[in-house]
Amino acid sequence: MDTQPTPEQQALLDAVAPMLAKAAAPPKEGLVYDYDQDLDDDLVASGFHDLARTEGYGLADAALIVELVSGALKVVEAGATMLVAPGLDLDLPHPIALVADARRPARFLSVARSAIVLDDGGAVALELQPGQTETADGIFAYPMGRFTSPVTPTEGVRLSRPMVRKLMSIWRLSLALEAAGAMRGALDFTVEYVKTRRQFNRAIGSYQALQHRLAERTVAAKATRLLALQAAWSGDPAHAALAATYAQGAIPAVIHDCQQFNGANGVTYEHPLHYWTFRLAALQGELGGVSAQAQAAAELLWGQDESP
Amino acid sequence: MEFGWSEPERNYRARLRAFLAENLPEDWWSEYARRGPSAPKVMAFARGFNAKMVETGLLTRHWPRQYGGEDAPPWEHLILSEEMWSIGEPRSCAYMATNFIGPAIMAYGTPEQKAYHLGRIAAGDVYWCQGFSEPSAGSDLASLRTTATAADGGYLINGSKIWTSYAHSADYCMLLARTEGATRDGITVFLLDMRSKGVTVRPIPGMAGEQDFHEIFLDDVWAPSEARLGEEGSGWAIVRTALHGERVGAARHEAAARAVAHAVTYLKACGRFDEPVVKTRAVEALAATEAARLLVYDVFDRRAKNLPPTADTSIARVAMMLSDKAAANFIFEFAPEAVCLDGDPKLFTQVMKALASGVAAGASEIQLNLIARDHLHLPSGA
Repeated sequence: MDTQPTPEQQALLDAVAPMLAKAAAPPKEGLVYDYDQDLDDDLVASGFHDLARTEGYGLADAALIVELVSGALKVVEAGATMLVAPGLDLDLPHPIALVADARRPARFLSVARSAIVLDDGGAVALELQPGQTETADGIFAYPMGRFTSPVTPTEGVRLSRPMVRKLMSIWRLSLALEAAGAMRGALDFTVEYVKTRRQFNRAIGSYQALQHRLAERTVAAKATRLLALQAAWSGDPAHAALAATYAQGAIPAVIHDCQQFNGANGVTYEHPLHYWTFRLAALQGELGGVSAQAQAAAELLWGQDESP
Repeated sequence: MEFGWSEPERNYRARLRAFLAENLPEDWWSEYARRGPSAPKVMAFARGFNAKMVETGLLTRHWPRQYGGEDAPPWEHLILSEEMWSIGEPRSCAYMATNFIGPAIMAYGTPEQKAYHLGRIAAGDVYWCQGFSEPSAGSDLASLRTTATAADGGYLINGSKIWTSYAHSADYCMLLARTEGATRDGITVFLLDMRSKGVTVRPIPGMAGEQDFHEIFLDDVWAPSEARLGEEGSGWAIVRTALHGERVGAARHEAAARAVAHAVTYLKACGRFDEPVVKTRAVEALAATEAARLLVYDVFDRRAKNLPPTADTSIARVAMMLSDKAAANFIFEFAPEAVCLDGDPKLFTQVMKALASGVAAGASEIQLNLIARDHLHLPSGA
């Protein structure tokens, strides 16, 4: 048992950290969630996208990077490319959108060059053609997109049942890692804010009413990260479903408290909190939300049938 | 980063389970465990049980060799705690003595204290309680009022202690008393013989276990200088170390996880596990226990690497409390009949243990204060 990154893993994290510092640029005004192409280019150039397929490395190493990247101010697609595709041994052009319902908007679909789409028959992986997707404006702090026409069952490569089960497991893993990163980002930002914001001649972070809630959310964020990393290490679908259940269950309170403690600033687009909270809000309902993950976990842990 | 157990660790856990299977009576859960580790029946049982643990070298394997242990790594200590606490702690209070009282004596004791006490603790035939809380000093432990004043080559101790588990049968008490002033700098630790003249123990009826709570009255209790642990005024540092050990010393996460799994088995047997909401709540409760487990492992990871304890101990403790409550709430919601006295002793034990989870070893709110101060570095209100 060892809950900390190995020196080699820490070296990988240390190599990514400067790329994230560049990403922490002043936010744009307005409801536009750009894809951070600069960070994406850096990750591609450094070979991180292929980490899980590199000899001597695996999904657990890639998971550490996905979690770290997910805490940054701006967003890149990392989970599907660094975890799902290598986990399924699929070669798909990056960025990859994971689409639970082809009729509804999905994260990254506006910028994706390929997609894995769930349907009644399981799932298909397909390369996207120009014009096949469009931007879907909304509050979620991802480049959201939708299909411009229905995805037909003959498109792409249909995944086998075992591959679909693996897809669901790694998707849940990625969801939990991305949530852990975004929780960390939102909390770090909020903790710094309450140290400087003063009311009644005191930093508001000195009030126990705020301290206890931030401490409780910290417990949840740290636990989310560890549960997700354990799932990455073990490859156990039950671990992934438990991690996703815990993550999605913890999200609402993190969003609420961070929003609350940033006051009215937290309800503006000038104040960058929304980069994390609106990512968390999108993750909260991913794959059917907490009840769906819990149902899947229950089947994996205590059920008779194999769960997707 | 590795979230699995090594072969020696798996073998050690298997060895412990085999030992428990061999040495616990068939009616362990219904007649012993459900009463709590402080119950006279369990404490009486533990004397023989601990002797067998000593015989097989299991009681203090995690201690250094020079004190009768085997230098077993902290992870084995954690495994021991998981296997013992989750089955109702058949060692009774010996877990406290081996977890943190013995190690405190190793760290701060004189050669004579080590020679006298450590061998007895390692032999499993001496019972200890801890005298920290007082009627007016619970969360604000540093405000304790029990005094120890120099007298006749030793100290005269006056005051009272409260919420003391195991006091009715304890041979010694790791006692905090004030040797000077009113601050934490004036607190001193004593290794008090509970048979000393002037010590009176009064049981307080409690919910968390049979005869679990006591009040200890100390009226002109004379203790020799040799009973003082460390220097005068060093008590706060000693107790802080001890509390880091105590806060994650009882593996509540494992007990709560097993209780959830047992509740699922119980509900399946009753034909009441098919509803989606039951499954959802079961997994949410289990997720809370697994969250606590990994945060506790994070604390032991530092210990295994010889790093000093941090506020991570408080983070783990809060998570353990939440896991205890999550398991208990799942049972209350979906298997309430199981917590009646003639119900299921495993589920009954979990809900009763969870009652005290938020106040034992320092209230959860104190843990939250420590996380805010030492982990988040939030400013003080002053």
